[in-house]
Amino acid sequence: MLNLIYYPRYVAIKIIKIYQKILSFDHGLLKIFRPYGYCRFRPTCSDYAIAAIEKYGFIRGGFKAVWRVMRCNPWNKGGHDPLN
Amino acid sequence: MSYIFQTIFYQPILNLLVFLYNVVPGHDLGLAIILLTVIIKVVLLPLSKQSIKSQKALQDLQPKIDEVKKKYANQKEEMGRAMLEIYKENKVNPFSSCLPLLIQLPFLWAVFRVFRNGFAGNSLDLVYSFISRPESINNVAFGFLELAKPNIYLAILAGLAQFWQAKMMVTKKPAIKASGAKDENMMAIMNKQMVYFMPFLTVFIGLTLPGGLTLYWFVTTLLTALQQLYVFKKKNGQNQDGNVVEGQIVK
Repeated sequence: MLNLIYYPRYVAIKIIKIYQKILSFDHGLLKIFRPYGYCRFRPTCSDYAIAAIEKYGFIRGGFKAVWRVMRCNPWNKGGHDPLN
Repeated sequence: MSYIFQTIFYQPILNLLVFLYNVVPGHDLGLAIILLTVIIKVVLLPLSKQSIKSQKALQDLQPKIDEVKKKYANQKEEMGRAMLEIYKENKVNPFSSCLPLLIQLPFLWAVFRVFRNGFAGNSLDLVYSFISRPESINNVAFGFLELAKPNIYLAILAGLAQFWQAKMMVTKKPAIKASGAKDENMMAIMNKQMVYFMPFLTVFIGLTLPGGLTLYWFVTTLLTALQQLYVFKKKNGQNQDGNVVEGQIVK
């Protein structure tokens, strides 16, 4: 029963990892198109999202991840931005 | 969920295509697809222009980047920070950003779906009421290209365009190799893969898709390549005047 509460975050992390493999220009196959990286933050948005969901859970971590993606826009300077 | 997707992304693109089909002389689906591709490309122009520019600037910085990579080979975190330092010093911003990409994704998926589904069955039911709905849509472009079925010539053309585009990106790179073949690092290998592997992949994928979608792919790649050619030409011209252009400047 206890495991059930971890189910959403487990699924969310799996989905993000699949995204990294297939679609992401920073992690998966498509990296060959952008060898210098795509995301303007380090760690990248998807790594950040995984870490956030692992640490804070699906809802709170999810919000943190969404907020990070919102900040990842052309008007933001980017840079080193670890999860805290 | 799929209903929302259909209303926001799929339907507008389908309607735009039908509208173009209606207005294009001779009601030629091929011409309509080319026009739609150009429109999509123009809408996305600011994004792709920036990315081509900064890619070019980065290639000029390659030696410095290699140095840092060697120095911090085992410390990923440190390496990342040192790289950011280089970019800052040289006023290059190599990065795009995730938000525009994630916004584009469903849009591109919708384009793909529209072309893949074509006008089979009752797909025309989704045409808005203010756009005149054609009785039927002729899938033959220019009088000889069947767009509903896979077309080998279009697939090969798409592959050739891909090859041209990738080749240009790689060979325009200034000669920076320091110590011969030993320097064939990951980057060079990846570039080679991009130049030779991707066009083949394009041809093979193109062979499985309806001709209309392959036509879209071909035109998009061709336009990207032309745009790249233009950016590179312009850049070289400005260099002769003594102005150094370095991609997007970090504000």
